[in-house]
Amino acid sequence: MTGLERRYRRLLALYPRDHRERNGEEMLGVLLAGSEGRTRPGPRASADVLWGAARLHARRVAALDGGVRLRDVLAVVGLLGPLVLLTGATTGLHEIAWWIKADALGDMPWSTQFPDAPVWVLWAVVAVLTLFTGLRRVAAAGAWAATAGFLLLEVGLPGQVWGTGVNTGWELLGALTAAALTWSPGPDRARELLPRRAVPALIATVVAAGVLGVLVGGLVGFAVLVAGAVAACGRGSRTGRRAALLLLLPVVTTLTAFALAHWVLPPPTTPVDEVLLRCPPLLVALLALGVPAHLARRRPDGPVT
Amino acid sequence: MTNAAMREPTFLILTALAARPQHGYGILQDVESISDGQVRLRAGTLYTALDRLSADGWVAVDREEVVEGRLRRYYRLTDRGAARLESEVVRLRARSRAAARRLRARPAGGVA
Repeated sequence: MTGLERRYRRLLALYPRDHRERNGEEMLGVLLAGSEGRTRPGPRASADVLWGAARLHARRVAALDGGVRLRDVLAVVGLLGPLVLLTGATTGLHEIAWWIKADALGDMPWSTQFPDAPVWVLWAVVAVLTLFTGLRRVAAAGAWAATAGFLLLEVGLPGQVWGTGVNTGWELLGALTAAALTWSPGPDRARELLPRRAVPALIATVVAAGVLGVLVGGLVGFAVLVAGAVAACGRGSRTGRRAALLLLLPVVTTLTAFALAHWVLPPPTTPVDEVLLRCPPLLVALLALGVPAHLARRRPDGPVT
Repeated sequence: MTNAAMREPTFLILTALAARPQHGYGILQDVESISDGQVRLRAGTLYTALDRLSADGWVAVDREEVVEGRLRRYYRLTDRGAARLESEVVRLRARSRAAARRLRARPAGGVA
């Protein structure tokens, strides 16, 4: 194998696996045929290969090439969503830990320190119903009630964390989970699609993320959540990866908030921050739900390149 | 069928496949020839386009060969792709005629 071929293979390794398996050797032949006399890929050819890889990954994320059933994605979200949502209670648990450490838990003002506690308790009930009972309809009703709770907090607690856009990811995931429990093929279908270890792995992940979030800080907990959610959903499955993207919407908001606070707009949050915080998870959700693919199907003879 | 404009790389790739099936490198060379050397597609762009065109059913794999130890896959234009290319040709022809008419009506020496 020549150095040129090795370098092209390294670039082609960045393509989506299915495309690489189908077209990798063929592309390599074309690249080598167009590089006669060269010992390494030219900058234009390299940039073109990289750009192609990025576009094909984007197409797969947006499901523009088909191959992902939204109903299956939602089935996975319906099963694992209630569990992931429990990570949202970390901030409140951190508060409780502080008051316990101060030996003053009885004096803790719940309405200001942990005002959203009832909603997280409701999500815990939904998680138990979804994972360990067949009471899917009851779980769905609970999920809708908890989502309504999110919205009430958003409207009713302006000036606190709620009402600033920081919790948009949790709200979107809550609504998607409720919708998935109501209309998707359900947790049984999700168990067929996921690896056997998915639920136990995600339970361990949520516990670990919660403990780390309380002891160390939220971002460490989120890092664990990302790794655990991707592993639980199955890295090799496109349906799983799409579901993981939806399950991690709260992380999108958190990262956006982190970026805004550190690099763009310092706290306190302004209406501009609020809009900027709400947009990324919404866009990711639309992408993961296959809205671009749906629009493309509506104009099947439109321009394609 | 929509008359939405087709982008140039798509048009040239479909044109390259209109008369006969071709392999990837052949398409690249043919596109350069069709465009009088003005458009030089590269492999990344070509295979991204082929991925989309295949998904839309405009092109399909015709056959595969192994030449000098390397896989060579030939692509062909499907009936659906041919119909889309035909409609694009009609659209471009109509635009060209309109432009030619306007140019003929242009006063000699230009307008003030």
